[in-house]
Amino acid sequence: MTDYSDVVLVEDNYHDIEMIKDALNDTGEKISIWIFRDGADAAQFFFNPESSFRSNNTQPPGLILLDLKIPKISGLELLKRLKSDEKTKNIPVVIFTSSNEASDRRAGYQYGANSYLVKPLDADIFSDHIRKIINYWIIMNQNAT
Amino acid sequence: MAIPLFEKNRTMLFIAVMLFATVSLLVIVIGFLLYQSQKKDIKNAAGQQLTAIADLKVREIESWRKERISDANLIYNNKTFSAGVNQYFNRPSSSSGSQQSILSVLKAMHESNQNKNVLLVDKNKKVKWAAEAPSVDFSDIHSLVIEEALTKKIIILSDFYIDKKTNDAHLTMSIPVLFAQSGNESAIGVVVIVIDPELHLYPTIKTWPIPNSSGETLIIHREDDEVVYLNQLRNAANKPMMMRRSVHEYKLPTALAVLGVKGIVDGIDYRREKVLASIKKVPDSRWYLIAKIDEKEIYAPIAQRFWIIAFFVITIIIICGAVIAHIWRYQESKHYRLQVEREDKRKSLYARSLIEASLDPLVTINIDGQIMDVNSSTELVTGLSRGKLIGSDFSNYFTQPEKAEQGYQLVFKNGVIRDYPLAIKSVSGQITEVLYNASVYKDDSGAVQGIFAAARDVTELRRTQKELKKAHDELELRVHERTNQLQRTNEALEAEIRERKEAEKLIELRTRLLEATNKELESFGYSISHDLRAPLRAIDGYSRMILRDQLDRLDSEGKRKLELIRSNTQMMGRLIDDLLAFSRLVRLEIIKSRLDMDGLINDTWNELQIINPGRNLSFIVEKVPAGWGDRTLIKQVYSNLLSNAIKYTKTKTEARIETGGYTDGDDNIYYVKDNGVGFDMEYYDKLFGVFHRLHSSDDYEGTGVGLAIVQRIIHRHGGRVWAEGKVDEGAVFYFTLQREDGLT
Repeated sequence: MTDYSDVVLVEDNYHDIEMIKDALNDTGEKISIWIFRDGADAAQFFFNPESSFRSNNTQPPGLILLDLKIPKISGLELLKRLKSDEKTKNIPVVIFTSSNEASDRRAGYQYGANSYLVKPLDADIFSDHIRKIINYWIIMNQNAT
Repeated sequence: MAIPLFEKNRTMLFIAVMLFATVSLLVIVIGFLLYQSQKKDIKNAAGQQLTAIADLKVREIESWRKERISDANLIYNNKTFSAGVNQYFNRPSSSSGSQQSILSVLKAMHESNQNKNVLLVDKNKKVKWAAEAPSVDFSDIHSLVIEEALTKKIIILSDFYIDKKTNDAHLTMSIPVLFAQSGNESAIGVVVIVIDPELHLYPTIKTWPIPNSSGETLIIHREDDEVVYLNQLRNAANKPMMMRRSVHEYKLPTALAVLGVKGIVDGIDYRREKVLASIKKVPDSRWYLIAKIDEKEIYAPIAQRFWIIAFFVITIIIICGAVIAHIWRYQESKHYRLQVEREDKRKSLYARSLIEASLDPLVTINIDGQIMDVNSSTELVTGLSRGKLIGSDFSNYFTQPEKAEQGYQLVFKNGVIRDYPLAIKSVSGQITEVLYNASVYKDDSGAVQGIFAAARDVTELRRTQKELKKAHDELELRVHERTNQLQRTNEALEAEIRERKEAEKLIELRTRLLEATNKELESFGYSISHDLRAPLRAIDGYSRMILRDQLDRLDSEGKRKLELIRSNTQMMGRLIDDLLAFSRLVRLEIIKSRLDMDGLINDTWNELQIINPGRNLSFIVEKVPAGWGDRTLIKQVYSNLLSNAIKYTKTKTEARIETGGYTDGDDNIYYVKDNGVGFDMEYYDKLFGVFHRLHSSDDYEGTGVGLAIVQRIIHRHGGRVWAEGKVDEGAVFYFTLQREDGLT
């Protein structure tokens, strides 16, 4: 089993961050989490040549968990940039949003999202969703490599 | 006109050619028959001549044979000769008188020019004496001939044979020598005389009594299947008897002869020439005599006659042809002349009828100013007859004769005048205003003969012009009036347009307002789904964390209340969802299509079955007419109605749900019926309200939006929704959809 994996979370809602962190805890996996509260911060991290991600040539994160409704740079805009950059395009991106609009869902997949999940109201289901995302995108992927 | 002329012409030509052909044929046939009869006459004459020659020759051959026999008889009947021979045979070396005498007889026979050799043979066919060294081979035919002479004791004249040493043709005559000893006369030997046919026989045959170039006489006999030519031929370099031909060459007169044909025959001889031949058999022999002559020679005189006949035939034909051609030409020219005359007459009648048909008075005037010709219009306008007009002075008939005279002079000067105005005065005093158009006309040499003038009656034109002017003036007045009227109407219209434009602006403003409202509503819906849910999610999330992490600090009441918080947040979420769905219906675009209602109902039912397992439901779909609406939305209607039916029958042990539909006028009516808890008709008005419920949500879960959604969907389709119900006895929900045009 792995002992260390990075998840980048782009999310502005404090309560959602709390719940996601709680759900990650529940998985029992050793996962470090990077949190950006808006699109600009996330873009700075991924695309600024002086960022630690670019300059240190660190290993890319195992998953990006992306909300669509975030300040400054929208989730879809950020997704588009991530999927067109050579260094980030292979990082799996799971959109985790409260929008159930068909237009958002269509745009998400069109820009290259690996998965699109609506945040459920029920906290049990919410926690279950996070567990399944981690299972699928982190645990199973690492086992394969 | 042209076609019958051509047809007639062709028929005439055909008759002429046929006549010529018939006459020519007749002349040729007569010429041919004449020629044939001439030819026949000549042939007959030639045949008679040949027969005469053949007869003559046969008689000559016969007499030659008789001579030979009578020569032989001199020895045959001579007892002294016989005795001498006997002595000679017995003592050949003695030279007694009798011996001498027989030898001198034999020598004399040899010396006669008929005989080539004379031999004396004994009865054993041994040559005892020969005038010349014998060249005869006795092993063949001669042996037989001598044998025959010995046994039959008669003179035997042999046929022709070939001397194998000299290859010459010969005949032999065997004369038995009879000697009587002791009363019995027997042949003691034979005198054999070898006859050379070249000496006498052949020349006899060859010679013709009349001069000719191809006449020939042959003698032949048959040897097996061959004809043997016994004499030398006139036209072949053969030796006698060397030419042989098959008897099956039936064209050969010689072959015909040996096959038994006699008399005159046509044939082709050994040279392959056409000949006429006369065939005779030579009596007492195997010989046939053929006298023949070439047809060419026979018909030589006729060839000359042929050319004479041909000359006459051709001459007669040419003369006939010339006569017929001449007659035909004459007929043709006569015919053409008639045609031309007829055409001229027709043209002149046509020209005259054109002139007469003209409504304009037409007149021709000679250089002296006298009228030469007029048409009926001129008669009408002057009131005078044609007879009176012709020869009179033309200027008499105008109101201004001097002006008419001037116009007349102008025509001579310029050759033509155009629209020269004059007025004609009739005898009754009626004035006709006219415009004159005239030109000179000339004869073949170009000399001016007179004037051709046409007058156009302009009385009517002048009147029309006046009326037109009047009408024009009136029209102008009316146009002016109408223009004023139009202007007034225009002003009124412009005012109306201005008003309408203002109204349009107002509508546009309202539309924009509505659009803005719509947009606001849309963003409101978006906010509901995102912003209202986020706190609910947080409430549920924290409640869950407390229940998990701080369970030991909570008593049972605290725990129950936290659970209630959680269930209420879920309820709130559903309310938000339903409200959102409902609000969206306002602006949703409806796309109508033909709907297979049976399929749609069954699909919906099957989906509902999956989420409602374990219920004993009896579902009946009656005959449902095809619908006309938005598939997704109508499915939503059925989904809501059927799930309600399932929901409100949950207390029944035997739930029964029935759907169906029927056509009523322009609408189709559909219904969903259940035997559930039903409702009180007293609260019917609340049935379709948003968030209105007729049952407690504790008993029957739900937000109270389902029927409101049904109503809104059907209303947006232009249909109606209603329901009938009774407490504990079930409910029926009805809705209508328009029928598609032509849909039954």
